[in-house]
Amino acid sequence: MKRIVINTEACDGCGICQLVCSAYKAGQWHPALSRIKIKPLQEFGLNLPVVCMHCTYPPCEIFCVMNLIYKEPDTAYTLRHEEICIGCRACEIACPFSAAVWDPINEVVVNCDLCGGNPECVNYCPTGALVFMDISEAADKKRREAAGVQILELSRGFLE
Amino acid sequence: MRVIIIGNGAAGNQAAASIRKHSSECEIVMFARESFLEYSACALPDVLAGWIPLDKTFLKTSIDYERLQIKTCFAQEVNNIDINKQCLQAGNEKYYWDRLIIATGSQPIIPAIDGSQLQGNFVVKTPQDIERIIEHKPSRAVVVGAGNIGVETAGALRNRGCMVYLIEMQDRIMPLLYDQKPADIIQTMLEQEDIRVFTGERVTGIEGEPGVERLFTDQQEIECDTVIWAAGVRQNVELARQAGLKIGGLGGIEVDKYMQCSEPGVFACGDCVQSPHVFTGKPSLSLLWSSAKRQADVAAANCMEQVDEYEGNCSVVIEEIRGIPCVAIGLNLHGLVGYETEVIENESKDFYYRLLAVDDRIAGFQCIGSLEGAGAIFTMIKKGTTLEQARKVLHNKDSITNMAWYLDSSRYLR
Amino acid sequence: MKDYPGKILEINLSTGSISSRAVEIDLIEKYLGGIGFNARILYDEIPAGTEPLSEENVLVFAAGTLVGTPFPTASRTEASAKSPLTSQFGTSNSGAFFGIQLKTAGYDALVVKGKSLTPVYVAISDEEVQILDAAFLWGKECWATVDILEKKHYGAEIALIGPAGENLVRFASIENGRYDGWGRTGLGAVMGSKNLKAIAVKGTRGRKVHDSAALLEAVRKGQQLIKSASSYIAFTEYGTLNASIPYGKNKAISAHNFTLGTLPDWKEIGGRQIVDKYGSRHVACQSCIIACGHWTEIKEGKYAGLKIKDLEITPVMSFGATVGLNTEAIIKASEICQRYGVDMVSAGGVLGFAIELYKKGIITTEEVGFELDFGDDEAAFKLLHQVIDREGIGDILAEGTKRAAEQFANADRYAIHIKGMEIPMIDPRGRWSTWSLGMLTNIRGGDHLRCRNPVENLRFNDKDEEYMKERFGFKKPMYDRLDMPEDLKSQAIDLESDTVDIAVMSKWAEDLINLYNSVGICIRPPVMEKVGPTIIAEACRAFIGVDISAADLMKSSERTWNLIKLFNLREGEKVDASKFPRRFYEEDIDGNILNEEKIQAVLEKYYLVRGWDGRTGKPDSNTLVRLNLVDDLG
Repeated sequence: MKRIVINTEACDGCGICQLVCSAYKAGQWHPALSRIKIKPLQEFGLNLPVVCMHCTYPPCEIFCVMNLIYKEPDTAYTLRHEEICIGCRACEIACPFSAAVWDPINEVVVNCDLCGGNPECVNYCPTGALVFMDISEAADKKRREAAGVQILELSRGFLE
Repeated sequence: MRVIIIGNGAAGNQAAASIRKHSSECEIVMFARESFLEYSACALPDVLAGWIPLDKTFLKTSIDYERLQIKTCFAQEVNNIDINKQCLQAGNEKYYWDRLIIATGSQPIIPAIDGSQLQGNFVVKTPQDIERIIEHKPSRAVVVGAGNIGVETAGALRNRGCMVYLIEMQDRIMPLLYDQKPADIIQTMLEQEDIRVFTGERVTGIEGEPGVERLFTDQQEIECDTVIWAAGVRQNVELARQAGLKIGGLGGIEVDKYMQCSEPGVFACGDCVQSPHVFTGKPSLSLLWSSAKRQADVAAANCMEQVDEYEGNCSVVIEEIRGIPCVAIGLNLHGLVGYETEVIENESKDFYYRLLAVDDRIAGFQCIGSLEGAGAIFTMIKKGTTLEQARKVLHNKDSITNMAWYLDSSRYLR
Repeated sequence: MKDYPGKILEINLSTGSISSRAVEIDLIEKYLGGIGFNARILYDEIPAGTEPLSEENVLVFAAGTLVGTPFPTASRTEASAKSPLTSQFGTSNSGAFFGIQLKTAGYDALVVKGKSLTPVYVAISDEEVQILDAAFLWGKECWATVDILEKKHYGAEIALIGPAGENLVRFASIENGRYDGWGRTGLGAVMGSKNLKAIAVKGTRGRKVHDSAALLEAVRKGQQLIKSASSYIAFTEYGTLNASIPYGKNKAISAHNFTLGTLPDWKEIGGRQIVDKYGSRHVACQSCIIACGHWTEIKEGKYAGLKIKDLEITPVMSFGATVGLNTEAIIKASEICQRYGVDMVSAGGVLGFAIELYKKGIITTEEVGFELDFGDDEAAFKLLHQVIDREGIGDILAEGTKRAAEQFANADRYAIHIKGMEIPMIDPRGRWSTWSLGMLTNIRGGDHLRCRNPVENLRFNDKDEEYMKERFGFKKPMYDRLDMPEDLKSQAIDLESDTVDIAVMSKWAEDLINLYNSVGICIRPPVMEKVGPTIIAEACRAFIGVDISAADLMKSSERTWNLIKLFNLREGEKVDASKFPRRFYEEDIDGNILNEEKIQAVLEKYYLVRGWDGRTGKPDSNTLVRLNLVDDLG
C-alpha cells in the first residue's frame, strides 16, 4: 500500500506542491484549491504538510450524508463520487487532519486521490519532504528514526 | 446466517452494507414500511431550495440492493416480533432470524392542535414530503421549530421565493446546539436573508378553509398558506416495546455499547435508540446521519461476532447561511447544565467562536465564519482531550510535528 | 489569453477612494510586470521634483508576472516609490508570500497614493478593500503588529512598517511579514509619510493559466535547470553565506567601515559554518527549490532564546564586517532591524560611519551620550535605537550617511555611499568585477543586487590593470550552457584569454536581473547561472498566452531599465554621481586602491554598450527608438 509519506523535517514551506496540485486538480492556481496543505508554524520555524491519510476506517465516510465516499477495493484509497456531493461539508468536520478540502469553484468537498497512483505533488517536491512509498516501509523507517525519542502518548495517530 | 434488518434508512442500509463487508454469504433481509429506496434526508432541504433535483437524493437503485444481495421487503409493515422464537410476522408470512437489527428511525411530531390536520401542514422527512410541498406552491410559509431542520427548511423556502416565518418556542434559535450569543448572530444572518424569526413564541392554532390561511401564536397572528412542522421527532419504538425490549427514559430503545438491546441477538441503531453521550456518559438521543451510520457499523460488526464499541453520541451540525458556514459540535451550555463550564470566546468582524470546557476537557464548540480547525476540535472532544494536553502538543516541537493537524485548532486554544 | 485576469488596484489615502483597472495586455507585453509596472507607473504619476515624503509620492507594489505559479523561485514582489534616501527611483524586492496573496486576490499591482490624516492600514481580501484605523497599531514594533493583524485577518500576508518608518527614518524598510522585507531605498519612510502602517492582503481566487500543461512543463524544466547548477548544493546548504569567506580572503569586505578589508577572525564570525552552529532547518519562499533561508536560533548566552529566519550575508557583512560585531550580535541586530523596520545595509553603514566619526574625534561622547567602538554591540544597539526613535544624535544619523555627513565638519570622507545610498558589504578595492561596476551603474544607487555576472567564479581574483576584464574561470561546457544570445556571449566572454568583458557583461547582467525582478524570480546564483530568458519566455507564454520570445523579454527588461534611468535623470541625476566614495580612490588597503580615470573609461564603454550618451548618461535617440520608448515618454 503506497501512500504519501511526509518528512516534516525536510519541508521548507515552498508551497510548490500546493500550486501543482491546484493546477492538476482544479485547473486553477491557488494554494487554497490544493488537496495538500502546508501549515506554517512560526514558533518552531516548522512547515507541516497535511494531506489525506487514506485512513483504514475513514471518519469522513461515516459522516457523508450522500454516501459518496468509498474505499477503493484494490488500493484502499479513500475516494469520492464528487459529482454527487451536495457540499454540506460534514466530512470537513469529520476529518481531524483538515484533509477534506472545500473546493469553492465547484462547491464540493474533495480529498487527495493520490493522482491515481502517481501523485504530482511528490513529483514536484524539491526537498524530498513528500515521498510516495509503501507505508509499512515508512513505518519501519519512522520507528527506527524515532527510537529513543520520546513521543507523547497523545501522538498516536489515527491509522490502524 | 440470516440477519433481518427492520428499516431502510441511514442506519439500516449502513448495517446491511457493513454486514456485507464482513461476510459475503450471510443472508440479509430488509423490511421497510415505506416503498422508496434509500435516500438522504439531509439533502431534502437542498431539493426544496431547488439546488439539486429530487432524484439526486436517492442513494441506491434497486440494482444496488441486488448487488449487495439484500432481499428487500419494502412497503411491508412488520406486525410483530417474537424474540423467543426469533421470528417476526409481516403480512401473512413469518420470517426467522439469527440476528435482528432494529433501525426503525423516527418521525416528525405534528402536535394535536386546532388546524394541524388542515391541508397545507407538512413535515420534512421523506422525498414525498418535499414533492408535496413543492406541489402545494407555498408563498407564505411558517416553519415551526428552529432546530437545524427548521433553519435549513426556512432557508430553502426563502430560496424558493417564499415569505418565511420561523417560530421557536425557546428563547433562541437552535437552542440545543448554540448558546445565546452565537444564536443571536445566526438569527441576524437569517434576518438578513429576509426570514422573519420569532423566538419565545408558542403556536396555539391554525385556521383556514379548506387549507391553512392563518396561524396563531400566543403573541400574534400570521397569515400563511403553509405550515412546516420541524418541532421535534418521536422515536419509532412501538415494535420494540411490544416485543418486550427495554425502552429508555428519553423514549429510545435501550442499547449497550455494542448496540445490543436488552435481549441478546437483537441489535438496534439509528434514530430509534438512545446511547450515552460521549462527554457526559448520560443517555442521549442523537438523531444525526453520522451517528446512525456509526451505530449501524457497530451493530453490524457485533452481529457478525466481531467486536466493536460505540464511543457515544457527539453531535455535529453544520449550516451554511448566506454562504457563511456555522458549526456546532458537542454540547452547549444548555447541555452542560450542572457542570462548571469555562467559556473561551472571541468575536471579530466575520468570525465568532466559543469553546466550552468542563474540568479543562473540551466539551463543546460553536463557530461562525470558518470551518478551519473544527475537525481537530471535534476529534479532541471525542477523545476527551483537555485544553492543557492540546496546548502541550501545540507547544512541543516533537508532538506537533507528529500531529500537524492540531495546528488549525491553535487559534481557538490560545 | 484575450482578457488577462489581473488588475491594478489604486488606493488614494487622501480621498479614501479605491479603484481598480484591468491590466492591459499591451502593458504586459511592454513591461512584463513587477519592476516593469512600477517603472511605468512611477514615471507617469510622479511629477519631477516631487518631495519623497510628501503626499504626491506614489508607492507601488507589483508582483512579478510568474508569481502565483510553481515556477522555481517565483515569489517576488517589487515595491517602488521615489526614494527619501536618494531622491531618485527607490525600489526594493522581496519574496516570501506577499506576492502570491496579492496575485490571488486578483491584483498584479497595488498603487498607494496620497496621505491619510490619521494612521490607517489597508486590508485587502479579494474585491473587498478597506482603509481601516490603525491608531492602535501606531508605534508598535513589527512582530507585535503582525501578530495582531494575523489574528484579525486570518490567512493574510502583511506588509508593514515599524517605528523607524513611522519616524521617517530615511532608510526605514517595509517589512514583509516577520522576517522578510523591502529593505533598501527607505520605502518604509514613504509608507510612514502616508500614515500607512500596514497592508494586509488575502487572496482566495484561483488563477487561470493560459496553458496549464505547458506551464507545468516549464516548471519541471526550470527545476531541473536550477538543480543542475554548480552552486545549487552549496546554496541549499548555506545560502548566500557561501560568498562570505572568499570575500574575506580577498580583503574585500566592508570591515570597520571599509578601512580594513578583512578581519582576523572573519571565518569564525561570518563564515558559512555559522549556519551549522545556529541554523537549523531551511526555510523557503513561495515556490523556491533552493530555500537559502535558515531558521536560526541562539540557544545560550546573552541573546539566548532569540529566533529569526535567515542567516544571510547581508546582515553578516553589515553588522559583522562594517560594525565589527560577533555572530550572535549580528543575529540580534537582524532582529532589531526586522522588528523596528530598518534596512540592514544602511543601518550597518550608518553605525559604521558614526563609530568611525567617533574614533576620529569628529563626534564626541557628549554628543552621543556614551562611548562607541567597533565590535561593541551594546553601544551599537543603543545608537541604532536612537536612530529608530530619532533621539539625540540619532536624529541626524536617521537622515542617512550622506545627509548626516553634511552636519559634521570633515565627515564627508567617512560617509560610504553612492548617490546617497550606503554601500553594502563588498569592497571593490579588494576584488574588481562586474559586480563592482554594477554599484556605479545601479539605478538605485550604492547597491549590489542589480548587476552580477551570472557565472561569477569567486575562487579567482585576477587583477586587470585596465579594469575592463575579470576572470571567467570556468570550462567550455559552462560557456556553452549559458543562456545568452551567441553573438553577445562571444563579445562578453573570451574563452581564449579566459576573461569576461565587464562593460558588456554588466549590461547583460543588469537586464537579466531586471527581467527577474519583472517576472518575479530570485537572483540567487543557481538561478542566475541556469535560468535564462529562454525558459522564462516559455513559462511566460504558457502563463499569459502571448507569443513572446526570449529576445522580447530582454528588450522589455532593457526598456524598463532605460525608463528608470530617464526617471532618475528627470530627478536631476548627474553623470558624475556614478563614482565611488573618495576613500576608495585615495586610501589603500594592502596596496589595493581604485583608479578613478580607468574606471571612468569602463563606465564610458558601458554607456556605449547601453546606447547612452557618455557625457550626460542619457539614453540616446537611437536607443529610445529601438526600445519603442519615444511614445511612452509623452
